Amino acid sequence: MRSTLGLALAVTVSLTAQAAPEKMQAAEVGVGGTLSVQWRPVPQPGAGEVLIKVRAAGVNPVDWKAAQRRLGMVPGTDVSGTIDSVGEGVTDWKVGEQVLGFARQSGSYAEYAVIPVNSLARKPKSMTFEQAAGVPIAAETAYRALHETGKIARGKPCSSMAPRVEWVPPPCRSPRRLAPASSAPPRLTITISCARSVSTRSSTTRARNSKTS
Amino acid sequence: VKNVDLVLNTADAGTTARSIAVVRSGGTLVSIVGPPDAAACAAAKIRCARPDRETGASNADMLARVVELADAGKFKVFVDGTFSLADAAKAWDKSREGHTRGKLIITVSEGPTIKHQ
Repeated sequence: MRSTLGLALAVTVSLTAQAAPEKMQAAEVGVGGTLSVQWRPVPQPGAGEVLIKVRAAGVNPVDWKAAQRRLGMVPGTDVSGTIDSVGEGVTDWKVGEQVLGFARQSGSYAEYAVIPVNSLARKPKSMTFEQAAGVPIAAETAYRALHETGKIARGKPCSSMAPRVEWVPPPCRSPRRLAPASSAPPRLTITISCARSVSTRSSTTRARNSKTS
Repeated sequence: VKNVDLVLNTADAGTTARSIAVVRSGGTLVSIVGPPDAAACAAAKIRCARPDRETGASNADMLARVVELADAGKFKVFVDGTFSLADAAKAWDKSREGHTRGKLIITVSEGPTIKHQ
């Protein structure tokens, strides 16, 4: 009986202790693109923003390419986690919801991150937090570069197509062969593009092969 | 490679220049690593473009559609390596090498744990 009571008490404590602490651990960019873990103030969500308790942060080449501009700041954009608190005027999202998004301003390599609601989406049920943290920038590359800018549509040559909103992709035949050797975003872009029945070739793979041959 | 309808260049600026030669007349070159040379694109009669966050769908709309696709099983995310926050620098080292086969992820928290007094 006594242990049950103790457990109930502990659960109550953890549920009520939802407010973020004042300080958090976060990676910080140093001179020369180095990283070190520091104690920093937990960022506060402004109007139209949410604060998330970070579960995972995705690493993208832009993170270290932009290191000079983020000296003394927290790097990283891609993030997944649970909503810890919501800023003023945020009505569509609730504390505890599992989400992913872009934390461009606050940075994502940290225990807490701020995401504007216009850069926020629910986490796919089928994905782990780690997988979900790999989505935002890769998805943006795929969506904007191939769909919006490249105007890829299913089953049509790229020249004669109108942009289409819906994606109804069949399975890829051999995504591995098409996957480029470079960083992660191309993997997702190629997967989506061949999923959309467009014949693709990886220029990066070809370019690298031609260099070595 | 030549006569390609669409090239998406994610490699580097040098590849952007070389890519112009493989796109067919009337085709498209999209680059996310520096703007293609406009004069060379015009000479080759190809459309050169960069993705534009300002004119496209909002990030929230774009992500919502991508999440729908993920839940429908239309794509998966391959995680190539996970790192602790303390090892974030190692993740950058691996990213700089440029030979990953999936995403590099920093696992910041394992999730809620029941706190004891």
